Amino acid sequence: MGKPIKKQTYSKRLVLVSFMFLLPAFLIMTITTIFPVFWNIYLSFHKWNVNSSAKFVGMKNYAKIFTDRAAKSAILNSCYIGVISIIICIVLGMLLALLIYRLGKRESAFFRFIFFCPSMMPMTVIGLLFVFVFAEQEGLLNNILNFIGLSSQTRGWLGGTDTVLKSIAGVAGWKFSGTSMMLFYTAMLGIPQSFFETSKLEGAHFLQDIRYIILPLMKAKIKLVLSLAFIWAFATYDIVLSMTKGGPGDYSTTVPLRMITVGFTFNKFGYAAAMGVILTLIVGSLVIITRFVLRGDTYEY
Amino acid sequence: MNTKRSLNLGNIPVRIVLIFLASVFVFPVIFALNTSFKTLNEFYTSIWALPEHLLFTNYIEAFVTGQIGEYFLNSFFIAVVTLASIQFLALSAAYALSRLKIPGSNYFILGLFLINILPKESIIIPLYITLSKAGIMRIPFIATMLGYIGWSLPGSIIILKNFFETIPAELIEAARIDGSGEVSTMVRIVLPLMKSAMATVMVFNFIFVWGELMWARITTLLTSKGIPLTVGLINFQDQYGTDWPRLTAAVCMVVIPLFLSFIFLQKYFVKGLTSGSVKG
Repeated sequence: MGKPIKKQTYSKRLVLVSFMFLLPAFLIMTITTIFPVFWNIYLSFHKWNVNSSAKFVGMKNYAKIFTDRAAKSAILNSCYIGVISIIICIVLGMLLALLIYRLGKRESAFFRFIFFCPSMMPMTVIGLLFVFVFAEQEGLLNNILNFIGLSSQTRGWLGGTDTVLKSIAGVAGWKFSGTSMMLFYTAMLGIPQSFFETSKLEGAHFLQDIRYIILPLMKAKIKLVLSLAFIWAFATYDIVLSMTKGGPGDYSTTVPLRMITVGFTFNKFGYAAAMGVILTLIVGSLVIITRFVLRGDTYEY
Repeated sequence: MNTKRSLNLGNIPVRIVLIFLASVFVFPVIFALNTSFKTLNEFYTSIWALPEHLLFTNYIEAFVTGQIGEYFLNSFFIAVVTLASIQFLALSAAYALSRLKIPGSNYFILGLFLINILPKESIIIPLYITLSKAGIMRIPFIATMLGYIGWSLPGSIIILKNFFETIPAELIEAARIDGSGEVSTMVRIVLPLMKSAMATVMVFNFIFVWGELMWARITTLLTSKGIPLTVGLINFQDQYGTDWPRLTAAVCMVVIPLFLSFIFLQKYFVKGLTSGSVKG
């Protein structure tokens, strides 16, 4: 008789203790994330500057985004930078990881460090560094082009309306490639060596190893890196602000920049909130689409 | 592993490609470092030349006049407090989720994952309004740090929870039978096994906290106190424009401590990633 009762009080105590362990983290997440997200959705249906009370306007804020030229171009710029930088991040990251994987663990530590460096550096710092690299007269890139005899290719990279987005996207992709390299490389380390011994016996070379062993086994990791990359690549505030401040004109203004201007300079918080929701929907649907495309078996090994 | 392969001569082309790529990666930083020791005149005479002598005036100038020193201390303070809080809160939450078996914890994890991938753009405006209505915006540091802690928790909890589950349950059961309480089990038995996972979380969070700009800029709009490095660098850029030697000195001052700390942590970081606790 005594035993089950005792057990029950024990597990009740256990549940209570776990809630106490969980509560502080949960409270802070509620204040800083969960509550603001819902309020943001609520705000996006209202017209509100801090001083007056919020007025319900229905879908008006959203309708305005699709007629406002500045907002539309900000969305397009965000998507352009996002997509290009993700492609660079994944392809370059995978290439670096494969190359490093060919070397021994000790030797690779050096290269790992070098390639991870840009991912460690704050985006703002990278931005400033590349303003310097891309500068028209004294910039590193133009001077290298002059040096190797490609003077015709030199230009003001961040001042030209046709090159500014490409330059920003390239720098962003380059920065992210460090983290994706790290995640891909550590996933490759987990593949049992016996797989490669078998394929060697069957006469496969490294490219076939990549195609038939490494890539299929890394599908789960690729999915993870892609999801992460979508989040990084659409958070463009720091890189754009440090590199161009949205210029020339607003040729490189992205959604976060536009949103902050609309909210904090023009005091249109409802409209800014609607932009935030649109950006979330874009990122969210892209993540869902990639997860759907890459669905199917992932292998346990 | 792989010791045999590292001696393979067939890897020489791989090494050549890697060395080329590595030099492309480091060149901008080396170039900036080189420029940071030059005077403006020296720089415009020849951008390639090495500095005539090791000149620290740019650093001193950036540190004192450009207030980079003050910003640096602010960022350091923010990083220490947020990282310690995140580690403490995330560890106890992850421990609760993986060991103490709360009903419905799977849904909770799913929720954390969704929160984690939410763009900050859909959070900052209401959060700013809430905190400024509560009067917190006028106190330096608090609002900035609160955002960082809250946003880093979901990802940290997921990584730590995945790692907790690799620790054998028998170990904890044995401690329980020996009469060890929950807190002392966690501190004395579980934590020493968690070094690599904690290092992984710490590196990710440090990179985020040290480099965040948008929230830092908004929360310091109305104050001149508690401005972190990223915001300070933007101010510095506005102030000095294209004075490259000075600007690169500021950049180097931010970057070098980061590199040093990573060299220190790399071993644990890679171990943490390899253990498979970072998964989707």
